[in-house]
Amino acid sequence: MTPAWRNCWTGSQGSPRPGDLCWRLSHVCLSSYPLWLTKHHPTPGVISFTLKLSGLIAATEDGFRMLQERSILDLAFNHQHWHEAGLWEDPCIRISWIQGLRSMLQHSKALSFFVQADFTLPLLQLQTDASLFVVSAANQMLAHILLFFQPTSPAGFNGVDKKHGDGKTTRASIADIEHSGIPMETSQDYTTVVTAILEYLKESLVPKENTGLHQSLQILKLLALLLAQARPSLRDKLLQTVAGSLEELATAGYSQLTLPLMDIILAAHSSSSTDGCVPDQRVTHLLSSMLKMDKPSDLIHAAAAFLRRGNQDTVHSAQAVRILLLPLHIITGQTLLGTNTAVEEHQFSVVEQLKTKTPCISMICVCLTNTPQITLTPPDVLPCPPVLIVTAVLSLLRICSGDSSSLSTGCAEVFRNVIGSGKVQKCALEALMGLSSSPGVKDKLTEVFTVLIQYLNNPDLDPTVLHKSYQALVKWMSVCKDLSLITHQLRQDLSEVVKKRVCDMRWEVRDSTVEFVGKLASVVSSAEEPCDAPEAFLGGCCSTPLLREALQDPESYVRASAISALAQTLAHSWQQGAALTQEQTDIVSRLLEILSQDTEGFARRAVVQYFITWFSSHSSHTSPSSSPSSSSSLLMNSVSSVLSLGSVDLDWEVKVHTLGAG
Amino acid sequence: SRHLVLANSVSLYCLSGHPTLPCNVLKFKSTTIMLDCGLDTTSVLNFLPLPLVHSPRLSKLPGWVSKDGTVNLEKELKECAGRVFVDSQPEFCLPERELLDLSTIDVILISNYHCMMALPYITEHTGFTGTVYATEPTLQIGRLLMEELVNFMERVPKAQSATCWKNKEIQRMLPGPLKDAVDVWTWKRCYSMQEVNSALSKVQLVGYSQKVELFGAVQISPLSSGYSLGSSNWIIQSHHEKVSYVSGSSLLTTHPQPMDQSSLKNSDVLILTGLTQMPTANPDGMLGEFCSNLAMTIRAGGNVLVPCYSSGVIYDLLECLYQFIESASLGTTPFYFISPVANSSLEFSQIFAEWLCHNKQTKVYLPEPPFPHAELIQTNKLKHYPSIHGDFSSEFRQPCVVFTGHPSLRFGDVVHFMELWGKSSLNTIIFTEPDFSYLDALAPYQPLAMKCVYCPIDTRLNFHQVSKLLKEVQPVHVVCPEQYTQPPLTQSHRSDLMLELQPPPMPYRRCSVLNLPFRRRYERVYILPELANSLVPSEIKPGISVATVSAVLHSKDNKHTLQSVPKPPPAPPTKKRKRVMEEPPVVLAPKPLLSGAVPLEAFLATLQKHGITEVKVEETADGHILHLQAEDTLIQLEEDGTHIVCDNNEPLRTTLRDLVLRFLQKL
Repeated sequence: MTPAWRNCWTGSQGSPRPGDLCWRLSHVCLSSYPLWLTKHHPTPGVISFTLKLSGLIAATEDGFRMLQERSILDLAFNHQHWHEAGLWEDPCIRISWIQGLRSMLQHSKALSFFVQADFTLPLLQLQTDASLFVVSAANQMLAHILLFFQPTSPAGFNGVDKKHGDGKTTRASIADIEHSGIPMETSQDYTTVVTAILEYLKESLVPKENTGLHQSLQILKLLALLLAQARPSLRDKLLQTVAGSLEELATAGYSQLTLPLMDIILAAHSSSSTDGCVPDQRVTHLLSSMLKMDKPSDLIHAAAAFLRRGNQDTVHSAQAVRILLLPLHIITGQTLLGTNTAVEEHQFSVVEQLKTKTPCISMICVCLTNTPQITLTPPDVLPCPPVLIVTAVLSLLRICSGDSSSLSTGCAEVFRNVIGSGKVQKCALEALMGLSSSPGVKDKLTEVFTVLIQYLNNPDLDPTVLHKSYQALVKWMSVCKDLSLITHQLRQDLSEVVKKRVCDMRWEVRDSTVEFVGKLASVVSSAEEPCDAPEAFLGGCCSTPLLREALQDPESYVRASAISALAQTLAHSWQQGAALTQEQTDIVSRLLEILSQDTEGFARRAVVQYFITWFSSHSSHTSPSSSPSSSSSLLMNSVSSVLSLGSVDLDWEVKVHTLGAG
Repeated sequence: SRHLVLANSVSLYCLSGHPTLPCNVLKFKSTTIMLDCGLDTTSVLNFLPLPLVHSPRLSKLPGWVSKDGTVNLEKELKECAGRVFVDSQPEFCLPERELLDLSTIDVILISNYHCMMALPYITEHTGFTGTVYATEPTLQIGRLLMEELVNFMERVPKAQSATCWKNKEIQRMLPGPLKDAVDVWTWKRCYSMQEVNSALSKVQLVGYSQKVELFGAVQISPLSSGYSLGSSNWIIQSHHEKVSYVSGSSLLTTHPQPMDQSSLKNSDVLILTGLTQMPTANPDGMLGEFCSNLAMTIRAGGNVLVPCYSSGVIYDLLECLYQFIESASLGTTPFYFISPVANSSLEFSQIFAEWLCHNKQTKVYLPEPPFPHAELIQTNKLKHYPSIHGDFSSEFRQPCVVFTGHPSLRFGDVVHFMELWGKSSLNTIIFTEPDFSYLDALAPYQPLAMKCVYCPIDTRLNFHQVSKLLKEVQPVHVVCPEQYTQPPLTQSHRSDLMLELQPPPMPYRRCSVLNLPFRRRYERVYILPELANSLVPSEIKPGISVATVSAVLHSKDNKHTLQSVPKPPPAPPTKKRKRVMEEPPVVLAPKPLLSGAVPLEAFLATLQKHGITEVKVEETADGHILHLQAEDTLIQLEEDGTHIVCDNNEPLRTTLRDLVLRFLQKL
């Protein structure tokens, strides 16, 4: 429905003028509407449309009044009528009923209509509807009623417990401004609705049996919507009503509800703290119960959810950190939580859970994903220095690849679940990347290199794991800057493995490898003590010949990556304005060949990008007196070929890049 | 047919301790069946290589003298790079020959061509008179491998045969690993071609799922095992017992027909051998390593040496390279395959269509051959030669890739290439066969500049696959080499690298004799129709009828038949008067068999009716004891018997007996 159309009906651009065509049309249509609705047996689609339309018209008080005068609203939104007509079964009727009401509920008259018609109960029933869309709409609608009509000052809300936030209305939304002068009857209607809804929430939040989880889940979602936007008075009222039920849910340990429950508690926790108050005792208590749950996987998810919020609560942060580090501590045998973990209350249950493959992998991954965040928590919260966490992640990586030398300290029964698990490997590598910027971990560079080179050498790893290993290498090198820490032997090993992987059978691996060579060049040239070229860093492994070889690769992605990598490798010499070599001339002729002959667009696009990079680095460093044999003359000669070839290319991206360059 | 309950024992004699080169003997239902006859060739690693071309380096190696000078074996033992090698024709470690009389073996079942190399040692000069069963590719390729082995040995004859070092007193003083070699006296030199031919003449060919009756007692049937061309697992079954023998099997998609798993179901005992020797090396990953190392060496201008068997993984290597050559720009690099049987091996592989995987089978109906190595040969990318002598030397171009044997690096053309290329760090040797430790194989070539890459490709089942397989086929008991029941020695924490089963597998080692547990002990017995007709079954429970049979049990060729009792010969006609007197004794009908139980309450009521009123009932573990106090008589009613203890009152006993009989059914 277009806004213009809508305005035509609702007249929101001004009051409806009797002469207006739409207005007249609506008059004509609406006068015959009741008859039509009762006699002509319209299809569900038409009814659905009329419900939405009625809602839109009734969104303004004038429209509302007009429809009321013709009893259209009573007729259209009479759900009993649709029940009797057998049409309520159709989800599109139910959802339109909600949406119609939702559009209408923009003013106090509509609220009165809603209350008088006793729509609260059917709306609440729709919250457990079979259709997910209806459920979602009902939830949105309930939230809308509670939030939209909530009084701006606590005084407007009858019987609110004013323990916190007295007169401290700090955040005023647009709704506040529009509805600041809520009349008395609205307040009464609102209280009626709020009471009914809160009563329902309190009654239905805790599932009567396992089948009621769906309803609880929906209520939790509703609560999350509410708590995120409720003003202190409503929030307080909400919390007061549901705190007992939430407590009951927290101790009941329904795994499916852990995360939504945690969302609510954290929303309540953070909204109360941002109001500048001491967090509500009830919320703090709930949080503590969540971080003491019996089921390890729920516990870990709860702890992760807490940590992700970046909460300043030191006591709970420390607790969450310990919970999250426990699986890593158990598997790797690194003393992340100190030597005496017998006191760790969840130790036993976590070990048991880790012995089963699926929960083990899931828990470890949650734990790993959060390690970078953990290292950024204040030192008094951390049970160990960040460097120890890096050691643990490295141990885990070794265990995952079946390296038996690191298997002596950890928990052997868990090893079998993580050995060869690509998911854990990827998570651990990502964690390792994230940990590169943690405080005080630079000393680990050598060890990180050793493990990552072992990974690159491992023939059984998935190409995506190898790709992540390369990324981790680049990340650590770029963060650590001081490349002198990397021993000659490591450079030699890296060079050997790069030479091997560039010949790999899997194109993905070859692609990642050439990409790495290019990135390595950028990192090396921006290092504190830049080497002349990545060749020097890689201990004699000549990266340019490797990349030139890769230009012949049968896979176009690899060719394209090789071209980009060549640009990165040669960028240093371009910037230095170094003399032209035969190698560069050969590369240029090969690239022009690719641009004119390669059947795949990726490679051709990369060629154009190559020349753009060269040209832009050249133009900023060129000297006016360059000899004809210098690289600038080669560049200038080739640019014209690139422009003429690229501008007639059938691939639009090649063309765009070319024209852009031109 | 009917069943007869018999007690029989099934035993397994384990003649080899090598898990992938098994040799076991199953005594089952009066048949003696040998399962595979693998030859442990790792013993050759203790010997000096046999160079095809005179090697000054090897001929100049110093002889070994003990430190104190008391033992001088200069002629027999040579020292090289800190290790001692026997300078003699290499010898093999044979399957145990003392554990049972090999002449009693009825049949030998061969699973795959790698597991038959000891065949001539078993079938020749032992009095063996049985039959060997194998599939056609197994026989043909096995013959090639034996021929190659004989050829390798006979090409380089050694005059002397070193035996002094085997003396127990002397061996004790030798440095390791010679000192620790076991049963060195049983090691034997290679057989001759004549022995090979004689042994293979005893082979009878079978096809997958073909059922072969052995003496009417058991039925054997080979199943596809997916490991190599014609490789099989075996089902050995009688009417009521089923033993499955699983040898080298693979679930990977390589060239052979896929493994038949479902036929292994419902086994009482599953003998599991031939799992992967490289549980931590994934074949796909190794193949990738092989290719990238090969390309890396060739690009750098070096040569690649691949020591391998002339059949098996080489087909997959060539296929993989066929696809890889283009992507790695190796189009101009020559590939050489050198073996006395290279030509036959490459050609044989193309003709065993029915033994190939589905994908390759369909190619048989197309103009293109199943294996792409044919195309490599046509386009001159792959060239094969019987030996380094002859045509090869004139066409040899470097850098190149050479596939040649033997993977132990002790004999065959590979020895020459080791001497030729070992000194340059540009060259690479890539080990792909998992049977030998590459460090041991390289020991007599040290110091070596050549690069060494170890990419063992073993496509046989790994522990993960085998535990899934066993879950699926659910054998009652599993028997396996003891190596499979614990993690590898070097990786004691890897509990995933062992078999964990419930009930635990029965481990065996060399020289073990196991009594295999069987759940059922039945035998099938046939009843002749005329005898069956004469039976009068009576129903004792709904659906269960019982009849007594008097018959003669006739057993022949392990088949049991019940025949009618022969009628007594008619008496010769004599005088009528005498006939009455001389009538032969009538064959008495057997006493009726009783069945059923005596219900206590009803029995007491009956006793009362007959005037026996003073009955004291005592409950026992098996039933009840009734004490008839007035009569001073005991009646024991038990589940499987009723006793009436009644002294000196025969009429009462008879009455009581008749009362008991009223409650029982008679057959």
